[in-house]
Amino acid sequence: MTSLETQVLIIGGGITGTGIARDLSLRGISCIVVEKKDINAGASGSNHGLLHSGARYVSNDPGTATECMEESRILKQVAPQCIEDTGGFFVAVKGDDESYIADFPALCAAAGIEVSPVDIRDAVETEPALSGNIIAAYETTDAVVDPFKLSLENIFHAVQLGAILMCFTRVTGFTIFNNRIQSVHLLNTQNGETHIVKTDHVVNAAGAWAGETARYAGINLPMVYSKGTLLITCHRITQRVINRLRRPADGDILTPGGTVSIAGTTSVPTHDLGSLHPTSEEVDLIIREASVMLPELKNSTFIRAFSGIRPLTGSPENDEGRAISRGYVLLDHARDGIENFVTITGGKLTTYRLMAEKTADLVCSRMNISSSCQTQTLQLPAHDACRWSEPGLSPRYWLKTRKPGDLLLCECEMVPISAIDCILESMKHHAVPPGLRSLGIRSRIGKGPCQGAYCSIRTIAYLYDKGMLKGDQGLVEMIAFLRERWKGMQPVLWGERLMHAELQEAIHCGLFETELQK
Amino acid sequence: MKKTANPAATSHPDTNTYDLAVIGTGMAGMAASLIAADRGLSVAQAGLTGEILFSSGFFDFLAIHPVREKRYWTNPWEAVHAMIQDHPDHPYARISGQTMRHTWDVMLSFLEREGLPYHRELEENTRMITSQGTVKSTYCLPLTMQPGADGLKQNLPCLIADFHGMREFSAVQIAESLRSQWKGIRTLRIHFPGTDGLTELYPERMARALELPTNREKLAVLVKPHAKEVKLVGLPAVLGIEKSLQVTNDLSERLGLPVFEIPTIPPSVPGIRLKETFERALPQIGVRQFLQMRVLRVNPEPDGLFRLDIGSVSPEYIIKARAVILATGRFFGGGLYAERDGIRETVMGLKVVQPATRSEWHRDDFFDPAGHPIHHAGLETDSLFRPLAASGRPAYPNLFAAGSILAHQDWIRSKSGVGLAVCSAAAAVESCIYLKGVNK
Repeated sequence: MTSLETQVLIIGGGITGTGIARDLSLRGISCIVVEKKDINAGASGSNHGLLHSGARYVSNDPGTATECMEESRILKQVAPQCIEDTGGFFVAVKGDDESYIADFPALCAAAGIEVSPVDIRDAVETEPALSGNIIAAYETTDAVVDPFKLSLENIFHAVQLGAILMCFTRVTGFTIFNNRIQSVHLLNTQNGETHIVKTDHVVNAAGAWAGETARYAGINLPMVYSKGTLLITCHRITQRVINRLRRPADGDILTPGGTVSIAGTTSVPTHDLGSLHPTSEEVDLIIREASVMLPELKNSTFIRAFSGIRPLTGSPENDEGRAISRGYVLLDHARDGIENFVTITGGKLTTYRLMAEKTADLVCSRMNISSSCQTQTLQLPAHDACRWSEPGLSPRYWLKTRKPGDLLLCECEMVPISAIDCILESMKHHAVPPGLRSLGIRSRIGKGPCQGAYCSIRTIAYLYDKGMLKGDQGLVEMIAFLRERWKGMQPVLWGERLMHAELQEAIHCGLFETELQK
Repeated sequence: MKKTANPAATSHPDTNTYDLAVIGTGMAGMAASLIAADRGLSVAQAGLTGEILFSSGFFDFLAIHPVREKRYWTNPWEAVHAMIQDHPDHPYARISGQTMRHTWDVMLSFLEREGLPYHRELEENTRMITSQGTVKSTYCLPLTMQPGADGLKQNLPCLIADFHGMREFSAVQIAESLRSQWKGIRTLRIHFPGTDGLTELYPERMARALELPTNREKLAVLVKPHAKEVKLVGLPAVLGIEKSLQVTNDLSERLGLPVFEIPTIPPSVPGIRLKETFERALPQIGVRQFLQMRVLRVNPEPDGLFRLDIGSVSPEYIIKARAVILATGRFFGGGLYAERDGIRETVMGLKVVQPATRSEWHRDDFFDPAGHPIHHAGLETDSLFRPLAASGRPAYPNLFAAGSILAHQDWIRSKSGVGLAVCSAAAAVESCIYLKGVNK
């Protein structure tokens, strides 16, 4: 057991936790981020990557709409390396609610969101994938953001400023005395080591697991979970973000992301945080709904589907996911009798910076530290090891540098050994053990059309050669990787994808007998 | 120079009439052509020859049953017996033991004759290592791999060598992963003769390079100093293409130790060897092959014969056949195709038995011990391997199916791919001959 000390301990390594770590570090406050899995393991890593203009929320959540508008403007300034400023279209098709279409410009104006009407012919000409049945179109400032890169850049900057990141480390309890959390007990799930961290303040940024975390302090935090499923296409279908011009519903957004597009979402109340499987039914629902705007989705091939949990705070009686505000909630648990404990939950990827700012403000005021937030204007520094999650970067880099011996480990996404070396080096400093899943978060390994069939084998061979895997660790890694990938592939298996899946099983089970190894 | 068994493309239709047309060029199609030609039938065969490249080189018969219990059978014949008892609808239940035994003999003696000898224990599955450092059970394995199986069984001191630039093969990985089952494996990484280790190595090119004695000599010089205290040497399966046994034996002589090949991830060299062997030998025994071509249409004619349009995009050849064996494989082979709302058979639109909805095709866990229900989908046949129509009667009196396209089996999980392919092909040929006799 080791003892550590810090001013603030942050629970959760998603975008909120990493954002808070950077904000506090910039204020000169020491902090430790503990994450029970890896960066963006929850909702931060399973979303559209949509940087909202705010227009989606003008009717049912104008407060969030305005926040999104302001925050997306700031992020485009301070974190341009994480953003593709695509712009967006809101389109309505025949049969959509005409009164909503008519009210839309005024609602946007009231929230301070810029939209401009687009001639339907121009809209279809600039985005040829749009349906011929469009009856209205507006241009918006929606954009896309790479959530992995964003969280990684935040935590890298924080670590550079002195913060500590502890991945694969979970909270096992609090020592509470005199209405204060005196120390937090931690367990490293990889090596079994335990730590006790003495801390002045604890921030609960555990996302969907915020309720579970609050319970360690004896606090009951009612949470509502909404499962959302998304679909990744093999090709990029539009240049812009496309939103259906109607009240938020299923299958009404298509975001581009590098070489692919992501269609979604669904919203289903759920209670089970354990295993999140996208289903065939959800996939069919998204295709049916989204193809109304974009007919080619009916015949598209999909790389995979994925599901995330939206942690919404609200009364459990109101179980309807889409009716609950997407605004964030910042709770000072002094009201529950714990003076140095706050929870930040809900909110959007787009508003993470604001959430971090407000949380840091509260923590500072509780600690009687006067300091001001710098993240509104200070550039988010770009770190070398954070760039590999960007689609299309590896091929450009590899073709440009073309160093002898820098072999490609992934041929679909062209990820060379040098990129993997760079990432492995950075993982060492974040207590992340080398493995396929952790490399997958930080690079394009396993994300191409072969979904890891070949790059997983090459990467594991490489890790053995470097002495980073021993004994049967590679097999354990491979099994976990294939299981995780399967969740996303399984509901989109038909046509060509199913052929690949059959080959994958023939190789891993037929030839290697992976499923039978002891 | 590339040899091709295909006649030059011609616009003249081939109007020959054959006793049998085999559609498919995987193991089932190759076996059907071989066995039918052997039995004196005139045979035409067509297909895209891609899938056999994905063969690992191993010939599985049956090793796991029931799949759900992961029960391993040392004796594949006992496993087959148990399978038939438990699953009377499994294709093996429609093949006599005599046919199975005879088929294996025919296949293995053919391959031996053609310079690609296999090893098998008549009544036993053999356990052999793979490039992932896992252990796999199979019935027959290339003779060039066999010493490795002995080494594993006897825990012999072994050296495994790999090459700079061969990204899918790590000797260290194999040694580490096998640590608990095969102790004392040493590893060695060397430059493949004539390469600098800075670029990717491709197994097929390596295999062709090792057909030259000078490259083998260079390789032996690199390995020998490290092989002093071991009893055998393992290398990735790249030891020659046409002359793999000579290449392996020659390396053994130079090193003074048995050398064996370790199978690599497909598409791999042992698959290329099988493809080239069949493509070379089948035309020599009279099989008319139409390779790299699809059968675009199969039409039953009023005279009871089938008319087949064969070509890449549009028909280049038209032939007639008294019987057809469909050995087109499953999804990867192209015999079945999965639409979003159902599975169809691609050549003739035959009835495919399948789960009711797509959500039942696969299980949530990739490694679910029960396997995925979609693998049991396929063509249901009568006892003569004739696919059944919706009525429950054979779709055509002279149409047969063989290999992985057959329903009610899971060749991947039960480790029965080649056995199912060749035995059902043999049974389909037998039925075809039987019916020909009956109808005469």
